[in-house]
Amino acid sequence: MAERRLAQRQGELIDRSQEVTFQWEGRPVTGYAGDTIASALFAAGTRVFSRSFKYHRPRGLMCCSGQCPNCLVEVDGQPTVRACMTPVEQGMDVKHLNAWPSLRRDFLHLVGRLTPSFGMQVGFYYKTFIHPRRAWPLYEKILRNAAGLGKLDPDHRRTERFDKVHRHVDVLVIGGGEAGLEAAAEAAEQGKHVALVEEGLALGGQLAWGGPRSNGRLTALVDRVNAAGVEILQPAYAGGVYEGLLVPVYQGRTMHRFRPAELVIATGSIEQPLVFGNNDLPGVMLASGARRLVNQFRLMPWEQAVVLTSSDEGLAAALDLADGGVNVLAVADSRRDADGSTIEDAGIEYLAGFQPWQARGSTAVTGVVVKRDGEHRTLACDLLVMSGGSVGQTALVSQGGGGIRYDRDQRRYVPDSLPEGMRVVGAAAGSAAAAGAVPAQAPKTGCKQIVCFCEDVTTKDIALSLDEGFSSLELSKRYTTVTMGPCQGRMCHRNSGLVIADQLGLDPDSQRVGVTTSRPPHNPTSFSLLAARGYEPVKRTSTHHWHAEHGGKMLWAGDWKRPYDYGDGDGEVDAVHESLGLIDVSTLGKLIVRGPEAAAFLERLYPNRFGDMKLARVRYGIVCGDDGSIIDDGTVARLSEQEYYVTTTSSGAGGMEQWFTWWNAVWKMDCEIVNVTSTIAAFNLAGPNARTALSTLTDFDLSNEAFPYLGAGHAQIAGVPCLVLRIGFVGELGYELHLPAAAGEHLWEKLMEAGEPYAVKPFGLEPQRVLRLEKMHIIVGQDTNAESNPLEAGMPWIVKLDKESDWIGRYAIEWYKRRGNRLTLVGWEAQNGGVPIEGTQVVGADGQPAGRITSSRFSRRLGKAIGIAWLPVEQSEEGTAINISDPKGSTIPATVTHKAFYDPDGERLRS
Amino acid sequence: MSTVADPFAFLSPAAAEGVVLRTPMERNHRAAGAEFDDRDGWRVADYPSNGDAPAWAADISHHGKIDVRGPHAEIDRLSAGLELGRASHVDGVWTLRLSPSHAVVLCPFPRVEQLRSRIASESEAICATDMTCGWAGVMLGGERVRDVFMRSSSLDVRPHRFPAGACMAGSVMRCGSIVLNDDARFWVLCGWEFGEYMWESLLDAGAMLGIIPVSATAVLRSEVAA
Repeated sequence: MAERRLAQRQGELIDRSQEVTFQWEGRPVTGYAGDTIASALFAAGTRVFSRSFKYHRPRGLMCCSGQCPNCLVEVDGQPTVRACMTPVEQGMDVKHLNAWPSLRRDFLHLVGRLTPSFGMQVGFYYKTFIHPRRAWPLYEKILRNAAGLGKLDPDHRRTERFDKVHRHVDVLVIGGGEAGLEAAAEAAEQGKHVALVEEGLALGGQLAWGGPRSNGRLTALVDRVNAAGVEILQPAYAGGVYEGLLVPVYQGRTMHRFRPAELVIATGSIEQPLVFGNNDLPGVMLASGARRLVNQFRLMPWEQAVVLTSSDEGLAAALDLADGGVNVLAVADSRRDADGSTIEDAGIEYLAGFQPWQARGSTAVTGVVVKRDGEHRTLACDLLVMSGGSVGQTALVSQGGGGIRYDRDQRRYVPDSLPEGMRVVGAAAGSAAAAGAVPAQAPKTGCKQIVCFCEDVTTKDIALSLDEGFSSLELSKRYTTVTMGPCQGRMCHRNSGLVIADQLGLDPDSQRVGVTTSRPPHNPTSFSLLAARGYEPVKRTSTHHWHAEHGGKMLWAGDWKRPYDYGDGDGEVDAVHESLGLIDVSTLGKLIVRGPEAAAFLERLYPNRFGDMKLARVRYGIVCGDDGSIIDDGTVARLSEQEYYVTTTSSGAGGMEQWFTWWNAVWKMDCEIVNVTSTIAAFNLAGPNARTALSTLTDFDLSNEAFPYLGAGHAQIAGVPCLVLRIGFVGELGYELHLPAAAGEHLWEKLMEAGEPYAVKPFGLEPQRVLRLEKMHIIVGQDTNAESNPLEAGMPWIVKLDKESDWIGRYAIEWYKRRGNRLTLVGWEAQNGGVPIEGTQVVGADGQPAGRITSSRFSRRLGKAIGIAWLPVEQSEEGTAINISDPKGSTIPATVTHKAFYDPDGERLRS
Repeated sequence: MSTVADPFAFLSPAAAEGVVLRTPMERNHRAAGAEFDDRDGWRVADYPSNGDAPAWAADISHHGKIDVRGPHAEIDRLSAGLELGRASHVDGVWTLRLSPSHAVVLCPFPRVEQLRSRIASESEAICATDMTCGWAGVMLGGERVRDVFMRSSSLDVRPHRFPAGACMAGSVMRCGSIVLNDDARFWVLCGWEFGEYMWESLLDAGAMLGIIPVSATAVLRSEVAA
């Protein structure tokens, strides 16, 4: 540990009293508490941390701030961890990514040497690995193993939990640099509830890594923020800004979903690399990266440094490095007319107007060649610092709906229009001091000039994309993937724009190149954080567990869990026809409509007539939209002069409540609508023995004379108050019992007990579908669609065009009536034992589609497949022969019928 | 059909005789090792712990609930001018004013039918419905109650935004819910069909905070007082 650490100083992040040992590539490395993996490895002599994405070029530390991809490693099995942002922990197991067999000797770096001849240049996947075609399986295997960054262990199971918290604050500040701390302190001192988010290892931004001169200011600001009670989340990062200023902040294993009243964006600016030959060699660093290593981790392993710059920021960096003990040989400033006197005063050679041309070295930088006009200089160094000025981090502004504009003086994009509640402060808002000269484009060299470090996109790649017609930044991005890597354009958006401008001969300040669209997530984010505790609401009836415990195959039916069947679908159908069945229909929508104008209200909503309904009767009804299409169906029971009980389809419950409530708000009628879907459990007891079995549980007179079909009555059944509706969806004698949900399981058990002598079977959704189909009862949404009107759906009897009051859909249905039907919903019976698939076509005589099968099942009782279909009117007469397509290529002959397949006269139903 | 005083009596479990009334969370309680008490016809979970934990949850689904709707003026009168988003607690009965035309009354189950009838009789324009089985209920409490709630809903429950005696309707665990602040204990009411899901989700949300299930009888004021 006595390697090249500088003397202890205020502002350093390491705790020299605590050593931490971890594994790197299977060998132990010791650092200090407070070190990052990167700084500890750097202190131990590591210079190559990774291999680049495509060309497998050796990469070393560059930014030390989590922006570039150069230090991505695997930690304890988790890939793509930024070593420069991850504190060391005892026992960590750190490995390289993206190299084989080792980081030092990576076979895949040959790829880089084979381009362009083998064709790994941009767009290669459209042009290579396609011949011969039969070799594709081999190519695919190679590419899959070579592609990507890191590997996931498919057998790995997470044991740790991820969390999600909803947060409300008065002010959320993103960015804990000087401007962010100032804004947070000021707001908190006004009594506001303030939270501040900082993604770095320490608060302060440049104050933290800019050297000892800024320590006092930083300490004062931090003290002020703490005294004001600002909540600090650090390290944490804002994942984006969504509509309504929703900001997800990720901290450790928690997603904080902030909804601030005011959002302050203080995300600062990012130093930009320069583009020249071999600008990605280990040892080539951003000035801020080198300063972080020196000032925060007290590392200074280099013998000699050269600084390349195009802005005053670079000059300041050179002086700071020199102050920190770095031997700065020279500063090459691409500007010809900048003031380099402070550099010269510090005894550093100042080379005005010299452009970087090429870095020298293979696995580490050994020098740099700079040129001005015809003159060139070769400077030996083992640290090559580049500083291309900085650009404001405005991505979150754009994501939050703010506009940005190009400022010609600053030569950067700055926020322009901001949505209400958003404010931008500090360097992100713009900074004249950060303005830099536009770096001249690197002359053609024989080596790669990296523009996008994440995706290994070079100047040549961009030129090729322009040649192939991708003539803007947005188009070139899609072809080259520049700005699409982990940095999301932070390190390369500006330079890629400048390269394109240069290639197209455009003024770089004209902004005709354009910008790319910033989208969240702002930082690479794990799916675990996004998923966190995902909750999927599930509706269960009061007898859910009884079904599951008695063999019910519980499946999703909309947002309910319902039993498909109980393991014997055919037997369940037979039980209903021959003796007794019981089904849980608690999912039906149920609405109370009560008030002096309840009847008039229903008359307006339904094409049916309800005004003449007698007490204690129930009637089937459909609801139509304004366009006359069927949107739901159900029953209406009249329970008193002014009180009606309405049922809807299970999936239509919420929609129908909205429909009813909406129209009542428009008409302002004197009635109330109350949704009691949750409150009521409902069971349908059906079969020839339904009356007999039910009679054992109640004194209510269930005889056909006292309680005929379509009657409604109140009864106490097994001690439970029930509304009994004598209706039937499944075609046999049946009673639908509606009761308080809390008594559901009790009554269900009593019904099953009472039905035992009759071999009662519970039956599920699938047997119910067969039974209803035998009666040709439609299912809205399956047998009908958004264009189905009741006339064509075979229900003209429901539509009362002679009603005095207007009703929803009347105008449209009158129009349909005048026009005449074009389609008809009919039944069909297969003739050859085949069972058509729902959704298949009816085939016309000319072989063209002539209708559609909406329902299809095999009925054991009838010994044939039956169903419902939409047919053109001319083919819908009773007895018409039709052909139904079969996926096997043939057709199934069938016959049209308009009558229910089973008990067409309803004798069993009304028995 | 016989004449029935209240055609919607079938909504109310109060009219059940000799019936075991169950909440949607019964299986959860059973799996957690709770024993059961019979209280007013309800099978109510009895847990050994009485709430000495950073956060706790109690199944209060058996508590009486009445949905009251009507013209603004009538609801104003019935609620003694309660402001929107406020609730009052008198004689063991909570009244929540959720909208100008909608209020909810929470009371011990044995008093539901009497209260409902009394409210309905105040005016023909008033619609009072027994929703005891319409809403399942979970009460959350403990010093970390807001931390549990913040993991369940984006509703703003900061003390100055949602003080004691405040109520609101909104989404909790992605379900439409009614929330009442009963002096740093939150009542969360959701559709009965969501009861089991809500219980499991809230306990999951509080798992990392050390939430425990407790008996409703230990935390419902009316029952504690009794």
